[in-house]
Amino acid sequence: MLNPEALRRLKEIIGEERVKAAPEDLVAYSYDGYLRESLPGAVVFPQSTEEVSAIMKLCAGERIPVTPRGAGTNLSGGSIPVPEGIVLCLTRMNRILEIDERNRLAVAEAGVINGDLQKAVEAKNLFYPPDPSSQYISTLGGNVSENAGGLKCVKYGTTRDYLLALEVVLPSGAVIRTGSRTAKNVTGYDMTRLLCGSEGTLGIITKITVRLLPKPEMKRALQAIFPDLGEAGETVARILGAGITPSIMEVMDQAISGAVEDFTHIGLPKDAEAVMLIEVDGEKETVERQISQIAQLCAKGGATEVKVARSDEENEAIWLARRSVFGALARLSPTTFSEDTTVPVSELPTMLRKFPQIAEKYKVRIAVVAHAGDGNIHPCLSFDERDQEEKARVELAAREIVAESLALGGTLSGEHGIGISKARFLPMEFDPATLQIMREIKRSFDPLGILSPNSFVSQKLKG
Amino acid sequence: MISQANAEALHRCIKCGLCLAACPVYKHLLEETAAPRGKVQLLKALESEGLTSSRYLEEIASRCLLCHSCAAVCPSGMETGHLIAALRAELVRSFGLEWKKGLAFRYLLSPGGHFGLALQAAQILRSLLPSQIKVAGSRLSDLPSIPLRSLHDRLPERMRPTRVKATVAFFPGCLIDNVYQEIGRAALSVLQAVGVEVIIPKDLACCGTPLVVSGEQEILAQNLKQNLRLLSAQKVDFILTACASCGRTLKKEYPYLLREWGEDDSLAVEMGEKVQDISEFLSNQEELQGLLGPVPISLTYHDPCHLAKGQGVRVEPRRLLRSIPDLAFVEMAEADACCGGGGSFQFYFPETSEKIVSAKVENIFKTKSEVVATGCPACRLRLESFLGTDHSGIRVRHTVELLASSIKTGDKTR
Repeated sequence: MLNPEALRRLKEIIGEERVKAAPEDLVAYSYDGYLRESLPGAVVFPQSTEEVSAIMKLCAGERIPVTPRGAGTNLSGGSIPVPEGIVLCLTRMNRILEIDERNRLAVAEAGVINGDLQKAVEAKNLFYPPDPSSQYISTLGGNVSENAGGLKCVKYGTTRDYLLALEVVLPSGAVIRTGSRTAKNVTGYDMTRLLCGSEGTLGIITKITVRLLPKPEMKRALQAIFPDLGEAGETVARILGAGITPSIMEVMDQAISGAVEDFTHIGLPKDAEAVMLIEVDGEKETVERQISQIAQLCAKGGATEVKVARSDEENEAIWLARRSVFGALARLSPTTFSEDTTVPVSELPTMLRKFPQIAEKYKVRIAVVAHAGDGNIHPCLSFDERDQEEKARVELAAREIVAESLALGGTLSGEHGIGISKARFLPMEFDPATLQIMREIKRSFDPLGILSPNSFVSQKLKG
Repeated sequence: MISQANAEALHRCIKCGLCLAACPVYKHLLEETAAPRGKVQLLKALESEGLTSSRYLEEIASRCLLCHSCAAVCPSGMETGHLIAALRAELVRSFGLEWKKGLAFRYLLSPGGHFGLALQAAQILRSLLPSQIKVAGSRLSDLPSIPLRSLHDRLPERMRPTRVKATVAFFPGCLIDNVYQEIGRAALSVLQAVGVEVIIPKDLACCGTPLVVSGEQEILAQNLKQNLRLLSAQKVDFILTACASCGRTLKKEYPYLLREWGEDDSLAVEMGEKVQDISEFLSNQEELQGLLGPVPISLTYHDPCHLAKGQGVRVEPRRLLRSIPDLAFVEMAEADACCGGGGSFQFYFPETSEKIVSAKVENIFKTKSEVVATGCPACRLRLESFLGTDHSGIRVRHTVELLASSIKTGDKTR
């Protein structure tokens, strides 16, 4: 519970209408896209950097924990609040402030929805590549805080690669500005990159300047069926080795493609170990040359069937399969938890072959979908949360997945973040000295420890 | 307490938030309580006794158009609309129905109710009022005038063309029966032209959509059972409607509601399989093409939520409209975005509703069309009153009205 005096002062700062503390409001802000839930003491909706700053000053003075939140699509639980704190919701700071065609950049407030920015810049023939699955609802502030990825990272990288500058409110209420509007900048520490992916632990991002690209002339998709999952993984490495960089390279295993087929009836085989989906974008001649090169490499790699889209409609038909993955999985089991492990691309075939072994060892179901081009794998563990014994086996399997990918030079999380969901695995990846310097960075930004109480550096709530 | 089936369904929500992107109300209010996910979580809290019924919860529950856009994108395949209606029903059990609604439902929408009579009285009254008066953001002068006798009253129960190849029952629905009779007449004339015998059973009640969305279940059960009995008794090949909401309710709500009430749904399932939207049925009538004459207009199409998202009927109306000679079809941006009507939503939340319809109207203007076609009289009412205020001269017509005009010009040229 928030003390009534603090509530009164919050209302003084931003007005009664934008401070919510009825039980109904608290329930509606007790979750994000992760499994756990916890009620906040109040929810506030600031509309300007000044308001965010004033709120933070009050909270610093009163030692009130603050959980920043956008649309609440976080998959790692970092936006779940605590009862003695507030949720600071940025969805109403949603203005696109500027699209600068000459410098190819855009400036937007933190609450702007990713898809809205994409649409606005595309109207000017520009392109903002980061495209997490939540793109039509997740906010840029959330994308930056989690360093969101998406399908196109093999060619275009993640949110981090498009950041030029940030405006950030520190836990003290002080407002800082990082980066600049320039393409090059080596002045001081690279604070922009430090804040990107910091999961709301260091400051509240209020304004974001992103770099844009010219919109690609065209794109073409290809679907290849592989009898062997490892072979599909090898083919990914071979395509990249041939000097081609597709914009998307996705692999779905038999469990996933089978579930997708049951759900969509689009004609995917149910006996093949892997379905690979690839897209190339760029100038027409290059796209056409590369897509036929890829088709040949797939055939050489053992693909039994290769289908190349001939039109935009056929492109769409191919992507329908990938877009249906989430839906198909959700229907398989009461609880599906998607891991986010990432390995160097060359180790992808090795890692892909581990999953059936781990599934067998712990008697759990693991379905695999991978952003194969960048080595980011989502092994989906499905279980019934109410079954404690099964849950324990899933935990052991998850731990082994982490251990195996770390042994291959990989990392815990490629794009979903650590939050409370994977915090317990951090010591497996970092030595004590590395963890210590992270805690010290946190302390220098947030000496009172009031920001993002449920995060990878401090968890009130266990994952 | 909500039903066991709905309680189970609540746990299928994985809180991914994709429904927020589809929700027209969330888009404008940007608060989780306005979103489908938020309402599902609130119902879950109510069920687990983490929350008690309140007037505020009632307001939150009513902030939904029941357009079913959320269900159409839900990866878990949840019928969020059912859950929100269940939440409303739960709140009606706690607080009762608002007295105005209760009165209106009992006297207007129950079997043998006087919806038509009340509208006819309003039409007489309205001629005495200044036309600038606004109702839910629409000027009185922009609302349609109301015929003084219902459609089913003016027509014989059975209409036989000279050569009969199929027999159908036609469910007119309150708005077509009492307000937009021209839609009903157009549907009948097209059906006659393709050799379909039409029966309009006497004593049909309101399909129940307004009751479902209000959480009222007593009169709803009476209406459902009366309609089910009358329609099942017809020896027909199909049951047709030209109202998106009636169609969805007859097809999908009747079997669901009976299951909810723990009753046998087999008759409703059987009847539901026979129900088709008029555009679904006509797109399968091959001889229609040969009857169509030129209609030289530019036209765009608005997808009614209860047709596109509620019944998955998107292709058929477009195919029919594109088959009309000389008609220039222009697709608008976000053609399946809601018109913001949502039954009583437009009266309770006029500001939000107006924002939603304004975005729609802007997309219609951008197509520079002369006519916007749609498949729902309620959407037509909403669009007409807002296109009207701009004096743009854009007319709103039902798909089947355009087909009827096209057949008429076809007749002349033959």
